[in-house]
This record gives sequence, structure tokens and C-alpha cells, in this order.
Amino acid sequence: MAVYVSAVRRTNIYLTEAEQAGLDARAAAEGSTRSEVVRAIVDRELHLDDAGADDLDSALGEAAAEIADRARELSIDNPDLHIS
Amino acid sequence: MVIVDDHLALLAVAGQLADLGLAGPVVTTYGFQYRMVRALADSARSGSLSRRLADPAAAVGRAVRPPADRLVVLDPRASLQSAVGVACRHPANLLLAEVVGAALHHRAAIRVTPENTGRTWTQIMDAEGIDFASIGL
Repeated sequence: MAVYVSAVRRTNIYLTEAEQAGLDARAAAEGSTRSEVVRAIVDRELHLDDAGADDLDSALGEAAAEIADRARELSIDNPDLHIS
Repeated sequence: MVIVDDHLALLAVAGQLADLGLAGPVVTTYGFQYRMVRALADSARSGSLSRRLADPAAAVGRAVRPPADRLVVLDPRASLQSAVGVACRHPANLLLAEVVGAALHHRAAIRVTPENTGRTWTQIMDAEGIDFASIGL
């Protein structure tokens, strides 16, 4: 089960009976709540569940210019992706 | 919505893209994402970034599946007809046709780095009425 350290905000959405029943079944099976199940699904779908990515993000940011240079080099021989 | 190139997209993935002053989400095209991921994968394979990227495979995964609150990759199928129209009107390769077609289809602005501004891009963007600018870093 995900642990949420950031604040949650109330959101109203419309769900079908089948969707509500599915969420409730999953929540009961996992000992969680409908809200927790929805948050976990949303996080997975939107790739927001990558906890501990701060170091990776920092490294990616530092290397961004170098990677962009490499992308240009690699695309030189590709007429579909080359910037001319 | 603002469409960004691979360099700006990578900064967005890392949460380090400065505010572009435009409303809506930051997005990129499949072509730019492909260039970004390929460069990351190539660098990971050759070890050229191993000093900076302790886990190159994780870096590739993050670029393949970026957190949606930072960067969304547009589905090229949604703007395919628009992209084809661009390629018919202008001398545009797949990368350029896709980004211009996406901007027209989604009514989006385009921001790229100066190094990724092709010789004809400004002229084509003007002809298509697109809000286009290069962003120096």
C-alpha cells in the first residue's frame, strides 16, 4: 500500500456501478479504502509512483545537455529524425 | 499546452524545466521522446554517462514512462492527418511534420532549444500560425 506524504485534495468523479463494485472489492481484499485503491491506480497509470527518484532526477538534469547532444549526433544519419 | 523538444523534455522529466510562461501541460512528441530515450540507452550501453547516472536502466525507464505531472508524450495517431498535411505543404521530415501537426491538432505552442531549431523551422511555424520560440538554457 502506498504511503502518501503529500496532501490529498477532495475530488468528485462519476463512476459506473461496475467500477464502484470493482474498487470496493479490491479495497476489501487489500484491507484498504476505495480512495486508496483509486490513488494507487492513478499513480501507476500516470507513472507517479516512482518513490525515491530524487537522485535519479538530479543526475538526469545534470546530464540533460550531454544527452541532447548525443541525440543530435545519433539522428544525423536518420532522415526521419534529423534536424536540418 | 506546450510541446517541447527532447532536451527540454528531459529537463521536464527531471523536474528541472523552468516555467515556460504558457498555460497547460508540458508535452512532447513520440519523435522527440524516441531521440531522448535512444540517446539515454546509447549512453547507458557505452558507459559514457555511468559516472553521472548510477542506474542507467532506471534513467531509461523514467524517460520511457515519464511522470505525467511533469511530461506527457502525445499519441502520434491523434494528429497523424494533420502531420501528413504539414508534410504535403512543406519540406518536412517525420520529426518536423509530427511536431507541427501536433501543434496544429492540439492548438499548442512549441518551444525548443536553439540547437534543435532547424533552418526552415521558423518559416514553417510562421506559415502555419504556430506560437514558436527557441529557449536558451
